Amino acid sequence: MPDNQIARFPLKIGSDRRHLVDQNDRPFLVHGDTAWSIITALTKNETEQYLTNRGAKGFNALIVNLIEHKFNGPLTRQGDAPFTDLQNLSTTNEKYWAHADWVLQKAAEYGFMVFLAPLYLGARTPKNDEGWFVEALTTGLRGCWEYGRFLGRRYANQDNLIWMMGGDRNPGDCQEHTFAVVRGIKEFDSRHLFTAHPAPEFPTVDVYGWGNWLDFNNTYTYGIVHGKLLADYNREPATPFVLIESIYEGEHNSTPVQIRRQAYWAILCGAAGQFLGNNPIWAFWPDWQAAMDAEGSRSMAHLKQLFGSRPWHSLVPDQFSAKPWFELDFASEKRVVVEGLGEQRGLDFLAAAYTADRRTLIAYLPTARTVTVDLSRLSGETKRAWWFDPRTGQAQSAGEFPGQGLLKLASPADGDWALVIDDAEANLPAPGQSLT
Amino acid sequence: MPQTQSIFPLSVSANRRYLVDYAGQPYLIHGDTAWSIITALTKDEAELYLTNRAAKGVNAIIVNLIEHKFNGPFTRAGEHPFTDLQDLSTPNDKYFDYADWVLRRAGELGMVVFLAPMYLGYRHPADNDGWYHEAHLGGMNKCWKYGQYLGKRYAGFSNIIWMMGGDRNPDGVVDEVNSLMVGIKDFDKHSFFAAHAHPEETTAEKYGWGGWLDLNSTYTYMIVHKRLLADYNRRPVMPFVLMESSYEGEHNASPVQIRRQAYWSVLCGACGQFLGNNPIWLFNPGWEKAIESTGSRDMVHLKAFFTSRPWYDLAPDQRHEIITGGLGEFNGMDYLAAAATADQKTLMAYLPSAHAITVDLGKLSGARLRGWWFNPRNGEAQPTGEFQPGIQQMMPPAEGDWGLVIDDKELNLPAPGK
Repeated sequence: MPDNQIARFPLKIGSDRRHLVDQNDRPFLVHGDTAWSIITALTKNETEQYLTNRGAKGFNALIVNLIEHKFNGPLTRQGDAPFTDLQNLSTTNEKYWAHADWVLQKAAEYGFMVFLAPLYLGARTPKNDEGWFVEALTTGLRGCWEYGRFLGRRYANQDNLIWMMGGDRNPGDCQEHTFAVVRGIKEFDSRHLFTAHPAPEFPTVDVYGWGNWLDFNNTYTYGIVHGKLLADYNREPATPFVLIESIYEGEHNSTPVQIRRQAYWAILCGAAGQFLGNNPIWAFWPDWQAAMDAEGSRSMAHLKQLFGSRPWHSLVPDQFSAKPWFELDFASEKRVVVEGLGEQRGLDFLAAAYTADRRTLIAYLPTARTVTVDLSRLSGETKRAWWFDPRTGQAQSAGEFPGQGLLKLASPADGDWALVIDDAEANLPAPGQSLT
Repeated sequence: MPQTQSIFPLSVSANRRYLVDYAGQPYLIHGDTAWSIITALTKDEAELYLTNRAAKGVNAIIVNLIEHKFNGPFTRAGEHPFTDLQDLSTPNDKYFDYADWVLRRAGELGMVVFLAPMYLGYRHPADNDGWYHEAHLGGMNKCWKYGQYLGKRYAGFSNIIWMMGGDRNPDGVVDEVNSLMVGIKDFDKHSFFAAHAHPEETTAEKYGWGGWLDLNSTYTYMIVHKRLLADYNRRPVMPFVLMESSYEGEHNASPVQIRRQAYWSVLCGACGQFLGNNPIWLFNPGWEKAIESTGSRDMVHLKAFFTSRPWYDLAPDQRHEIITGGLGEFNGMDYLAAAATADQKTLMAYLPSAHAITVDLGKLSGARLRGWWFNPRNGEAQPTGEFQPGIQQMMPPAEGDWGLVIDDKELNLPAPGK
């Protein structure tokens, strides 16, 4: 949790345009949890209960819906509505916003950066009532602009937020309305980054990249997650991107390894971080308290420990060159991990990344296997290898290896594993143990 | 050897879920991918390929009538499709005479040809995979003339399904694609039309304008079973085939990956599927060896599995009412797909990985039920024993992927695959 306390918000884009940094230019690994409905669904006591649990697990970012609609919204537990006229976004109701302020401030006290959705549009459904899409249209451009100005004035000095436009939807007919809110905010708030949350499978920059206000990209996919992540990494110009959403724990028959693999893939495919989602937590449906110690949240703590123990911000994905598969010349490919890669369009895909100085390689194997690593593509006379168990956070030595040849390593048992290979001279502690 | 006369032409079943042959028998599209066969191979080589596939039960192939970048546009005899390669309205009869031989030979061997008359090609910076530019440059009139030439030439063939597009949506050449289609239909009034869109796009959405599309297709590298079920649930109902997913020999595809997408297709309501293989699809060096690949042998077992039961009558168990546990990740690759016949007397399922499952046999018809595990790697079936209706836990006999069949015992059906 030291990261949380040291990070000085607001965040900025790192100079290499690959990750986010704090005001001291310290890389900030977005390690998020999903609390969409926290403002409306929870009492103050419950809010603190949630924040305490998440803070203790090392989470440092939250997704929050500033004005919830269908999912335990739009009224707070005290019965306050965000607008005196719920059809008109420019009729803000002070009592609601006082509670929202309190939540954001509490999140700041616990060290959380909040990805804040000011105008959650909602997934396209026949009823079209999940978000504020219809109300934005009804309110009109001027009202949306006034709402934006209200937000900009109110939150310009709230350090711990990133504005997240959209919400499970591309702007479509609300593009001008979205832009009006952005412009209203920016009249008073030039301190915070802007990002967006599109419809699933759409790259955020493709659907929210107009108007020159989007500061970083997001990946949102239920498909072949690593494929979408690498596509966003390889996009030009380079833009930081976060795995903003994939499968939530407790939905779609997701498995524990599914939750882990998408998170590990994110960092190893070059993302600036990722968010865990959990049902019932995201909407704080009944039994959310019991879900707070679910396996996903516990294994995310291990993930953070692993990447926190190595210079994660310098990782470069180990990938094939960008050509059609049938045109690849495998003899001239310069990958570090050369065998045991899994299906490139499957979900047993091995993701690997090496630090820019090539002194550390980290790989994640969704299933146990033997991998072959070309040590000549890593630096150091002697390499020290570790297996890291993403289920327990325990590391075990995989040995020291001289030479430059091809090294075959078999994971120690069934299940998913992370492999770490360091230049032995760097004398790094076991993965998962904090750097001093 | 199939009797061509009794097979073709195909038509669409009354419920619009599958194709039927000329004799009215359900026709499970059991396809292979031979995009570049016309330009890449000699007659002897084409004969080798076609007879190998026919022996493996293949009854449909994807063929590019005019190959462009991939071992095209010239035949091995040096003939090019157009006297002016920029002008689609200048067809070279000698080229098409040779193409006719390939198409006719495929028909004699019992294969319907999904024939791309103007492969547009995947969008990329060089944009030279297909004929997009030539179509665009030539404009509607030349495309229409080319279509008329094809319509006249192939009206007498009964084993062609025209496949418009080709790894691409028609954007930018909609009118040219339409003109080509109109030209073909001026003379060929009977052949079906399908299309081959950009990956992840739905053919029915991208080529559904104009009312000429007879057959939808799924083309995805993503979570294949989800795309298949989306196409199954599409309204109005249109038969659809798994036209393309991962090819064997590309993207580190594993043998189980090739099997699972094929088994998913039929169990998610498709009327068939195509196997793709690199180097076979473009007949690059090494293709002769690849024709005995694991994928091609596994597909033989798949056909035997499904044709041993009324596959055409299967409805996907998408709400998981029959198999209720051990379903795998709904957005994953270990997803269990199951389907039952309309009379609920036969259940078929495919498990990409071995794990315990829960079956509610009460949802099936029959006082006693009998099951088999089917090994999709060798085509062997072994009995599960007999069951009373009720909740039943079952476990595949070993590691790996498995097919499962449970029948009403009274049907007294043989083991699947026989």
